[in-house]
Amino acid sequence: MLPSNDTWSERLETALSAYDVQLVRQIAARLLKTRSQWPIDELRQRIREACGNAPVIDRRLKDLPEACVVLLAAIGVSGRPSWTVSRLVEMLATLGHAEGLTPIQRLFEEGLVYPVEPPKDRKVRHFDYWLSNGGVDGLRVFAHPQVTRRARLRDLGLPELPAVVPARGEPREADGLEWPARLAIAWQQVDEMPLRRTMQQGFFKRDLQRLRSDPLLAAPFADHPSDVPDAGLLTVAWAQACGLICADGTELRAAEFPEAWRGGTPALIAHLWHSLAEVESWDPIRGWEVGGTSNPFPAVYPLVLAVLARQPEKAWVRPDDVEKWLVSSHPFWGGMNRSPGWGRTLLVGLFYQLKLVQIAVGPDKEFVVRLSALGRWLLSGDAAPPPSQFFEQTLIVQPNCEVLVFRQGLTPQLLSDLTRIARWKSIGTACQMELDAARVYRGLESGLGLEDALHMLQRHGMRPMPDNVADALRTWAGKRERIVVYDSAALIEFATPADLNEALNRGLINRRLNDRIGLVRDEDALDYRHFRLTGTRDYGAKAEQCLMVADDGLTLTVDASRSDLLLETELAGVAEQLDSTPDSRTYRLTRASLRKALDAGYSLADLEEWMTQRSGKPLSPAAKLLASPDDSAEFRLEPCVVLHAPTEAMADGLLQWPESRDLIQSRLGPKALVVAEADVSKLRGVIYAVNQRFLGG
Amino acid sequence: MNPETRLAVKLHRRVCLVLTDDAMLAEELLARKKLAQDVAGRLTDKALLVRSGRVEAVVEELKRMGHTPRVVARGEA
Repeated sequence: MLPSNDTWSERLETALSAYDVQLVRQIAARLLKTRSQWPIDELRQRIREACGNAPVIDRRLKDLPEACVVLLAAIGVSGRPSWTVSRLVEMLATLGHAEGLTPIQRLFEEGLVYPVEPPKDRKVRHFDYWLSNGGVDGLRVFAHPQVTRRARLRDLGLPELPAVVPARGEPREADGLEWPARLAIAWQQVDEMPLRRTMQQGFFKRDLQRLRSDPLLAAPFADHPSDVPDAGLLTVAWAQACGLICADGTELRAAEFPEAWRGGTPALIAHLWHSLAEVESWDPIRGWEVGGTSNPFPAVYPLVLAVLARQPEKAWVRPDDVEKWLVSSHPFWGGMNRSPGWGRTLLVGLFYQLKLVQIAVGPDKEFVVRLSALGRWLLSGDAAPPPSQFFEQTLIVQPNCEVLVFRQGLTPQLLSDLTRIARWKSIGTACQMELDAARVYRGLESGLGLEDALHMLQRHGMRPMPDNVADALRTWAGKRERIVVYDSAALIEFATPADLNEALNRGLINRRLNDRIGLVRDEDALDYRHFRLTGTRDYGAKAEQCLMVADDGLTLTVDASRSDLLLETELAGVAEQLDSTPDSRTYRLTRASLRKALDAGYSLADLEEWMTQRSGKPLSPAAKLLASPDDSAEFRLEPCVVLHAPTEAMADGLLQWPESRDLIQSRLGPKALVVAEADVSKLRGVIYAVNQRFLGG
Repeated sequence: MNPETRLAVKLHRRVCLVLTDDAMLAEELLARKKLAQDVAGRLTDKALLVRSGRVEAVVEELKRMGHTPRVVARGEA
């Protein structure tokens, strides 16, 4: 679904806030004809409001060169307020205004088009300055829908094509469900197995082959006056463009069905039509092509519809004539004489299946086309779509769990709900689907409730649903309840079991986990008026320091206000509990507990890291002593002779002087040195040699 | 207790948790080596605490075991 008017107004405000003050004043002077020096914020507000002021916009349009008005009208007719600058230049050239960037620059300076993503690091001073940030291919501009609505009333200068009288009078019109059904199939396939993309945004060979030959995505159309090349690949690219599937790194994954799938078929077709211009990797001539020559068709689609809308309402035209006009006018083909031959594929293939055009057999047995009521509505910009018939009972659930779906009553909502819960088996005028455990599970996981699914199948069923199918659905749903995984639950830990009971009585807790802990599914719905928080722990954040280590290096006291539930299980693995009260919990590291932790697979480095994380201090020497393996260290007891030097400097001197240093075994302290008993007499001699006193020995 | 009384509590936010239907099922899950390494602890006989950021891996492993777990995201009822 395209963003609403309010969203575009917000974007306009964002763009204006990225403009330099001088540029805002310049736009205000042109758009609002202001004479006073208004404060800048007020000017921005007035510019924004002016977009919804039809008389002001009409007056400005009257003053603009024709190319500018034609450009705004073309944007309005396309139904997409946002386009790249290069596409707008192409459209203008096709409409007879090959004036390059000049009309876009004028509209920019008039405050009638704005950059979609203005630079964040510096203010925009003028058009060239902004253009230098990207280039015409990458930069996108938008015109507010309320502005283009005024401009689209103007004549685009489109030609009247030769009218043709069909050989047979009755027009053919598709039901418009072919593409929605294929997009739903693409969603289901990607939901079950994400697609991988190459660096160039293409598909790997195996996926490419599969999408080209997939029995569902590449199946012939149920009503197929013309084929479309690489229909499967187009479907996947289109599904991404319309938000049905989304890129997640290098993978394409299923997204939620967009809002447009909850409305009627016309609204969904409008949504698909608007997103078709985002598909750059497919065209009706070459089919799927990534990274090849540039694709002119995103800007061609709205012009094709516009030229059909220009013809009298009942008039039929040849697809070739539409193509000839575009080939002669569009800069991509540069007025080439030979027709590339895409008119039939585009109009009788792609657009016919989208219900945008009606077809009939022409005098030369070739199909002729004219805009359908839906196509005309799409271009008109009217809010109310043409009325359509609706048949509520449109499917049959069979005892073998197969579901036969007739397209007459298929709506986008029903299509999306069925796709979530039943596997596609075939696509045609009657589609075949199947309910199976895996698909039902995925459907329920996507948010569809069991009762909703049963109600949907019963409500739209032409016959009552077989009991065995309803039982199977209930069994599969029940199996899902055996294990519940919460990815972000809130647990409330109470001081006493009585407090937890009180909270349950007040309806504050969804589920009791143990005698003091309750589970709340939605933390945002927690009523804090009933609680006094003594502590909060966020499990998405890094583990907090919540242990205090006593002087013995072994006794650990838990800081209850900062501890978490993981701590208790971690402590149970490395320490023994000494004492536990609601306010204080004490543990001790013992040899048995530490050896148990090491035997369970932890290394001493793991324990050290854990202790540093939890207490801010490394594992104490006492704990390391207790954790050391059996027979891994040897303690020796032996008598020794200690020499006490009068000062620390004297002791340093003995250790440095070559005459004495070999006689010192080790240093016990600043002034205490160990001497071997056999060397005592030698050391005495050395000290006497420097005329100092030697006592003892 | 006065219904107006505010209860002293400690809030544990963004906890990853697996709740099983029965204790035997929890045992079965813990016996699975690949699953056990993502389980930080056992809160009760039916509640397993999952290491932060490992929920997706746990769900995938549960599916490989043939289970069809219900995954409750934040805010879901």
